[in-house]
Amino acid sequence: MSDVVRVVIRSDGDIVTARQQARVLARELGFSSSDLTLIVTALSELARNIVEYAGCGEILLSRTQQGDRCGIVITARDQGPGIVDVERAMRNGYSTGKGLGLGLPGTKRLMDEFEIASGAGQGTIIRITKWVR
Amino acid sequence: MKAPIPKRGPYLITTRQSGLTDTERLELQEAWVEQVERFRARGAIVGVTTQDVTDSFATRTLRSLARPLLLCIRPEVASATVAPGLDSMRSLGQSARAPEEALPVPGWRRAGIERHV
Repeated sequence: MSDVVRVVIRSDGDIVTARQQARVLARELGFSSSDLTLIVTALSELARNIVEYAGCGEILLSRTQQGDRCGIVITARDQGPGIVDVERAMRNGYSTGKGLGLGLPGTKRLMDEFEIASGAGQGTIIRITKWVR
Repeated sequence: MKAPIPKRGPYLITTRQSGLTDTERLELQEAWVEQVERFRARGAIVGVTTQDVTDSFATRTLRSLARPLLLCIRPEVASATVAPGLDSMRSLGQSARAPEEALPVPGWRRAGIERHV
């Protein structure tokens, strides 16, 4: 139950690998195909952020259980420059990059839970969770 | 990375396979734009039924394919186009028309393509 799948993210090919691994795990857990699409989409955004902003990092995929319900936890971790103003980054329409992604608020809305820890020079950890309905 | 781009009347047809990287998507996109210009295509029919992701990159490349665009898409991906958070996809979903209105091709109705929008 505590198996963690780790995917190192360095290039856009690694994003595809992470998507495929997430899909396998989410399907095993019994997510509907529409939830599967949302999970893979959210993961894709986080993985692309790693490539774009940090250069390299990793994605960890695991299952979680809370009482009767189970879910998938996706952790995106990098040692990049970090986010100077996390609160601002969580506001709609804010981006320091090319501004073409969904942004963190968009990614958050695709999932049930969203946690972030980041700061200038501290890298970034984002953990997102979705529960099987 | 190559994908065949046949013609059907004034329209170009192509498909997108699953598991494409961003770089491969861009390559396909460039080849596609070249063909659209060369044939002065009046629209496009694009099959993305193997595509399982609606991230911003995939959406952006789909949106820039051509207008009008007949997109053959999986139901769960279509429903994700109006999911909260996917604002970039939503504009794609909201501009949806019935296929025979979007891209008039003789025989659509006979082929059993019905209105689902």
